[in-house]
Amino acid sequence: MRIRDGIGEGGEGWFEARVRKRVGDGANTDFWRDCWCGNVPLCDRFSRLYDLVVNKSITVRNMFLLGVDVGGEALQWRRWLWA
Amino acid sequence: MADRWLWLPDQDGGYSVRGVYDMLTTQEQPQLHPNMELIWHKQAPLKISILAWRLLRDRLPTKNNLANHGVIPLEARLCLTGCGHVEDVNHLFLSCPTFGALWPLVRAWLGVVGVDSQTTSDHFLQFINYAGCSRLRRSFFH
Repeated sequence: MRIRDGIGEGGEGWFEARVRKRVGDGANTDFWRDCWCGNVPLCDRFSRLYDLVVNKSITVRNMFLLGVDVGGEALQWRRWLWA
Repeated sequence: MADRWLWLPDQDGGYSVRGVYDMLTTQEQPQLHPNMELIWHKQAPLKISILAWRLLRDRLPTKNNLANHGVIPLEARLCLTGCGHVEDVNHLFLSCPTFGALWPLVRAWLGVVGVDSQTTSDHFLQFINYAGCSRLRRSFFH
């Protein structure tokens, strides 16, 4: 019996790459670091924004409650975002 | 409704050791390009086929591979030409200023036009195409 090549080597793991979060009320899903939207966590997809965001461990639910509109409390940055 | 984890290979049944065992043992190996079958072309001498197989799968004892397996110390894995780069398979056969510079000469000798490849598999495919072209050209000339 032969185990597939590439397993246990560096790079993408076979387990992590196949796990997603399905969001219900969002209370138990990490907005930036869980893989719930697309194939990579938002902290990887938007790593420069993630560097700048103040609250890195906010849940999807709190994000929604605080409001993600411009000026909403959910997205506070360490500095002004240049356009 | 609460958030929940989703196991993509089996979204209804969820994660199971049995399922993962099947997944890891039955899934095909990442396929090399179909032309890689040509490694074992019957007109190629066996030692050439074996060298090509080891080259394309990075199984040659390059200094980098020897160092990774603890055969030689990590400091000793630089290219023997002294160019200062790690001697891995792509460096040794393609990008090394000394050895990589041989390929334009080989192409000139064969009378073909080509580019310098970045990976050994691209390189292999390119030279396979030359073989096809030169056979064609020869049949035109005869």
